[in-house]
Amino acid sequence: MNEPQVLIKDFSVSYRTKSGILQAVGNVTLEIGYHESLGIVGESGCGKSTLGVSMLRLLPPNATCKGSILFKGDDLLSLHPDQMRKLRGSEISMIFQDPMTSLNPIMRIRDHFFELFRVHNPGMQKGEMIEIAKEALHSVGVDPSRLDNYPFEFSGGMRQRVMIAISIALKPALLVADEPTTSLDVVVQEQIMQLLKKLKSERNMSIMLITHDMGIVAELAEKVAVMYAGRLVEYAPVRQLYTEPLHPYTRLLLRSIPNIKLDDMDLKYIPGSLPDLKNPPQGCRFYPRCPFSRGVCKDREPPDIRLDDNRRVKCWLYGDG
Amino acid sequence: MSERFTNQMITSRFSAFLKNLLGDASGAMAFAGFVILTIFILMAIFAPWIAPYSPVKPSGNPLMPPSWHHLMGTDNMGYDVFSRFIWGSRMALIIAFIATFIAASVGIPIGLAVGYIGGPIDRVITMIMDSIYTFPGLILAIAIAAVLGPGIINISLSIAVVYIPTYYRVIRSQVASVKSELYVESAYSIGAPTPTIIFRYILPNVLPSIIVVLSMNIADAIMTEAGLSFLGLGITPPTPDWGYDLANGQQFLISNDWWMAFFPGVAIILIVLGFSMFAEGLNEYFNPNIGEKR
Amino acid sequence: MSEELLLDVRNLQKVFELKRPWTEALIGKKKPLVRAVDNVSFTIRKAETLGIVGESGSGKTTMGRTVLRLVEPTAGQIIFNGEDIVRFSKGKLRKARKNFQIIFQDPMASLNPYMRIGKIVSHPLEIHNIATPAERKERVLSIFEKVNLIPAEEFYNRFPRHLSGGQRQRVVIARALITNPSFIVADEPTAMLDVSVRSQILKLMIDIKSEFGLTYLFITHDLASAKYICDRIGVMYLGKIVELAETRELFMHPLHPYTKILMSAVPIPDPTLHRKKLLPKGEIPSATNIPSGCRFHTRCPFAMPVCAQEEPKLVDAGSSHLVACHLIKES
Repeated sequence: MNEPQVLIKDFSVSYRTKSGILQAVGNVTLEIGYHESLGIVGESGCGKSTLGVSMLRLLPPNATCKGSILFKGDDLLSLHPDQMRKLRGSEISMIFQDPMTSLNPIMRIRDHFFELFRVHNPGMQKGEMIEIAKEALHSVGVDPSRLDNYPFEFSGGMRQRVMIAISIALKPALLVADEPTTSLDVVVQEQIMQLLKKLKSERNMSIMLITHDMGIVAELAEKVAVMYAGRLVEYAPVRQLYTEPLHPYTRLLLRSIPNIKLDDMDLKYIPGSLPDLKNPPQGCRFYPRCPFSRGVCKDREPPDIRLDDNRRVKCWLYGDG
Repeated sequence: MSERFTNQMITSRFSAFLKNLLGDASGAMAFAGFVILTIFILMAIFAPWIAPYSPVKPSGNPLMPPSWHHLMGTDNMGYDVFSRFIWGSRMALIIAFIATFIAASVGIPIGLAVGYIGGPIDRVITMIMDSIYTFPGLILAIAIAAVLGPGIINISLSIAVVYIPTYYRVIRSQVASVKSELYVESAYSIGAPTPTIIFRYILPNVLPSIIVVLSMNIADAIMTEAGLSFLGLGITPPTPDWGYDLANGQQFLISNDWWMAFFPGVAIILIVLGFSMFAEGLNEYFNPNIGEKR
Repeated sequence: MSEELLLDVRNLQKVFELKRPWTEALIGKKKPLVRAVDNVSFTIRKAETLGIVGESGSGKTTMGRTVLRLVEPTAGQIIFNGEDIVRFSKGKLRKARKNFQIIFQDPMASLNPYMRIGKIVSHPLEIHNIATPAERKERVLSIFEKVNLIPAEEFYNRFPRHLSGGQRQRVVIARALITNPSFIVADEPTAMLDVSVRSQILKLMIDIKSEFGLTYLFITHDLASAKYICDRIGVMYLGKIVELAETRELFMHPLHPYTKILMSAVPIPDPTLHRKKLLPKGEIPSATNIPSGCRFHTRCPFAMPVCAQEEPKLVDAGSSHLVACHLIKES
């Protein structure tokens, strides 16, 4: 297929707050191919979570969007809410960071599944629902007989698996995973990452992995998009991003992460701190912290420079756009 | 107290009304309340200069309806109702402030100490406070006032006792949660002695929760005072007092002489509304989640 | 690094009693116990950085606090500079706190929202009656420069809410340094910071270590940061140290199965690497129901029958590489 499954074009999100307008995401253009895994990396305030949540149109009422998100050709932003509801859970699913609070504590696991099925397939028989639920639990490594358990009866890692099971039960084409392992221990994290890899290949699913952890991105993602202060600053296939990072932020970030495989870690660090999104700098948002900056960086935001089909960077160092 | 409920209903309908007119409803409500109570406070301070007549000397024929000479009419003793309206604010505010001050001065330190120490003392004192708290406020105040007798301090004390548990509960539960905050543990780790921890680290962080309680408390205290006077347990006549005047004016409603009961009643409602709106507005302002529409 | 010991922890224990429903009390069931720190012994030499790594439930956080008696130990000795601080009275302990400090994980919550930054950092000096008020301000400003909170004068009057996470953590570090302590416990100091700020703080900690002559106990779940900053590392599991060795040695020759599993699970920011992952069986057991014998045996891929019966002791497998595992013999 030449057309990507997801095409995000010039997408922006702004929040109306008591103290002014905050642009969380600015002019982001991205694609996700069918069966592809895209990693979206960035730190707090970079807009990655907002982007993820936008994929399911679950933004809060004070948010305004511009641009388009095409999913299999349809613009998600212009769909009727009922049509969007049909997509959520069955075509596009999302798993969240905190498995402790994402499941309803007073509902049994099977009821979580039933609720999902009732929305998408009101005529489904109970027997069929149980079959699908059991199959989903089995594929994530949870004992299917635990359908009757309550969320509190599971540990953190197991709860996350259950949440994944519910999200993939109806075999969605796209799974958005927002920091799925951040609150988990490293061993459990590894188990969940392996599970995601397995599910992706078994179910031909594409994954949008949102995280700040450059380690798990290297493990799972095929392509990586780096975000900073609401902007998409670099986009590349995963190998190239790590071996030849282009954007100064990406380069510094990679050099500032401790790596247990290296013996002599000469850790660099990025001076300064993240910009205030309510009062962003005029030019490039990374300018105040960038060791390679030039005059133009202060005044004007760099354009998206396309170096290749799969290679984009938003930086004056690489041309004029 | 059912009066508190009625006021909350009026307050929330008012705020819905304001929400349509103004941007930030909680700020608008707090401001409106603030305006009202400022008017009354100024009225109380400048009473001698604003009131046209003495409130305790007859200034006209008794039972005269509102006119240009007597904007709110005269009562059965010939006193000018308008002047009593203005002077009445003094009594209401003085007693309410004194009562609130006493209640806070007693409730807060006990709440601080008990909240910090915890353990069996916590259980015993909380039980005592809860029993006082669940006792119907007005009845408790009546009982104590009956024992202590009339007089400003006595009335203030009677009312104060009713509200001590409120301060205790709020402070104690705040202390219990602040106690386990990391900055308190940090204070401990740098070697701060216990009094320093309580007064420099815990107290400033629990006091903000009191501001809203204070304002609500004053509103409530005014009503309790009016209630006491209404029942004849408050001030001694002819001191101008809204509650007393309300009671006094009741008997004349049958003969269609409405102004003697009406204006004191309006005064009570307005001032209580003012404090309540101020309190509620502040509450929403400090806790934005309460006011947000989902 | 000298041979002199700064800290000598012996048989440290911290047991928590959990509440139980009264129905269970009636039938004589005992209160469930959590042995958060179960008979742990280790030493730290002057100017050394000892790392303790483990997952949640390992007891590492509790141990960090217990070592400073922020949590009272149930048993054991904590010998700091030759004196057992467990035997200190409350008053003596309080005064001694100027010698050992702690940096917590959450920079937002560590600072009193109602105190200005300058006051926060000078407060320890006030408490311990060090220097005159004028001198105190000087010291605070000078520390601000050392931790890169510049311009120092500007930060002095600000409130915590005006600072970023990284800046707040520097304030915490400044406060920890102001009384010139010899020992600092760092409990996950970078876990809640943005990735680009983490290395700032790690580097700062290394820089000030030599300048102020500090000794660190560095507690973390992040093996990579531990490798970067620690001289020796101890691995904790369910309340016990299962392996302890010099950093290089630990990463080159991990001996305990749990250590191997941990290391293989750590994600590496390098997509060209293909690693074979070693995964444990099952889940972490409940802290109230610690397995018999070796507490890791229920998940260990190499478990033998003896592992369920006998608890292995921490022995030296050669060149001060300590490990508690039946697979490894003492050398």
